[in-house]
Amino acid sequence: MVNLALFLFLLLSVFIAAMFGSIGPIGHGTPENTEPMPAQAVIDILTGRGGNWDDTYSVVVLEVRLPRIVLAAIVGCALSVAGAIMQALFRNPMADPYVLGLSSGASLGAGATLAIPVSVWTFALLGVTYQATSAEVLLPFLTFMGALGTIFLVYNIARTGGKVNTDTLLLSGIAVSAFLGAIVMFLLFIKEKQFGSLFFWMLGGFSGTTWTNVSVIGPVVIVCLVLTALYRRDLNLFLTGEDTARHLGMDVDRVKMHLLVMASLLTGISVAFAGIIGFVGLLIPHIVRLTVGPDHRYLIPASALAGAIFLLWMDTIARTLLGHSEIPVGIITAMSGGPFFLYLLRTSRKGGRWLGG
Amino acid sequence: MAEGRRKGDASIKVEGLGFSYGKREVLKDIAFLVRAGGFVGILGPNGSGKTTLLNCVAGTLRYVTGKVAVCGKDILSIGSLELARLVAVVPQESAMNFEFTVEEVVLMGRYSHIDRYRFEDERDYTVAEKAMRVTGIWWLRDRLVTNLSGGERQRVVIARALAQEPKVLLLDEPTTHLDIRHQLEVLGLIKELNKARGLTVLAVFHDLNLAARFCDRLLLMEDGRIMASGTPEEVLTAENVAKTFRVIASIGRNKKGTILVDVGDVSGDEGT
Repeated sequence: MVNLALFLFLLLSVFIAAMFGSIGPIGHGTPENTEPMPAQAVIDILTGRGGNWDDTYSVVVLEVRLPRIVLAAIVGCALSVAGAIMQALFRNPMADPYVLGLSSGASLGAGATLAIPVSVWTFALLGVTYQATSAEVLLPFLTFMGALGTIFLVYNIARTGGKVNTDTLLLSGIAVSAFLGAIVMFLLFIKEKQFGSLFFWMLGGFSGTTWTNVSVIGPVVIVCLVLTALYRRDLNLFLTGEDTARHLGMDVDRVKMHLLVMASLLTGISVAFAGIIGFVGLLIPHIVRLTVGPDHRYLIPASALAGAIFLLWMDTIARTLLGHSEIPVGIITAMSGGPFFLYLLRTSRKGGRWLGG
Repeated sequence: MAEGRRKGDASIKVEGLGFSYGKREVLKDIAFLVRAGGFVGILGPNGSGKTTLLNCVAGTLRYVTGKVAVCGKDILSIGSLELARLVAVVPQESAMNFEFTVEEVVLMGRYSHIDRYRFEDERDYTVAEKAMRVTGIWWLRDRLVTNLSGGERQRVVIARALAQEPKVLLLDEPTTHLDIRHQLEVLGLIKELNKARGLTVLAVFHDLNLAARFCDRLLLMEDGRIMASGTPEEVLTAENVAKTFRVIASIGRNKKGTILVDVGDVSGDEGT
């Protein structure tokens, strides 16, 4: 029931979000173009009766706003499911893709696309004279590799004697994350001009989204969601502790590896298209758990939907709040998510049931 | 008990088992045999290797030397799912920090029976229901496990273990955190399952008298070796207790003929 309600609310949100915002060029709009589009125009265009309106209107709605809205929803979905996976694996509400260094690794991957000339990358993709020049393919590939490489590094550091200790994993994740983050900052510092775009990208945002972006990320996220749903029972078992999971028949290290790859893929591809957006992976699964309980049969779909709704609204705020120019969405999620999270920690003692029992 | 025994074949067979944490040898050349339908207790002072031994039989620890076979199958060569359908484990204490309902937790016991691509079916629910009825927690099925008492929680864990439909039940001091009444209830329940269903039980005990009361046979461990094994009468002698636990004890019997160990005082420099 909760999931159905969330789904309907998501559809409604898409519709409402499409109505907000100026007509003017996306990104840093010129002041003269900031007049709002009539809501009736949006409704007509979305329902296929846009003939009476200016062509610019339908381009803005169908080619600028909609892909952006859909991408925001997809990324919100991906990040919160990645967070739900992490929190279950590590039985820790503080685990999310960022804490474990996935996003730092992904940033480094993105930095690599800027630091190393494109010709080298074409070469690096062995033998195939595929033009890996377009950022649409190269960037997601490298951010995913960055995220995956990081999680394997972290995983192997934490692995001793054939077993992986969760506390060590979390700690080494924090250390590796700080280290990689420092490298990215160093790049930014010494080559300010070249990496200026990296800085904005790291703030996170959805401006300039095209349907091509959506067609790359969409299928990957959908496949990951379906696979994650297949692991619902495993995720539940992780909550009871790894020893118990093993006793109940789980091949713990293998399942953990599968789930980590899934979370890396979801994070890597999100970072590639939207930069670094914090708090979604941490906040959404946590809130959803307070509502639907810890059972991943419900938690995974509900987190996916709630994450989509949350980021969609955050992005709508980000692109409309200042009117003439947009705020990086990462700033909005952190500004609204941070205090809300603290509020939850203080008011609901339920937050403590994660750790204390 | 007799019907559970198939031609007297060994349900748990341990041969030449050795295990070390780093350089420290924790188990040395352990060998014993638990017949199908048997109820065997492992006793010994702290650090004697009881829990390590149980974890080796459970497949949680990968031992280096020797062999552990359950129902004739080498536990290291069968997959984790097959192992979980043969052996269930009830640990000393289980983390229950999440607001799952009792029924959800018991259904987790079906993990090894349910394929990833399907949902829980009628049979899974039937098995879970039976497990809950037998353990007397059916009426609690919609309650959250976080709101249960220690005794109820331990019953939930036992029900989950039963939902695995195992041949062998391993218990690691399953009643340590319970009061005396709940200790008797939980162990009585396990004894009943052992008798009625021929479930083979291997359990670590802390309390010598509880062990004597519920087990058919006992293994007494000292310093990673089995120093005595046999019936409670054979194992729990004043001499054995004095030697392994370093306490002065006198052995008696209650009205039913069960061995009673009365510990007088510590002897030597080390207590239990």
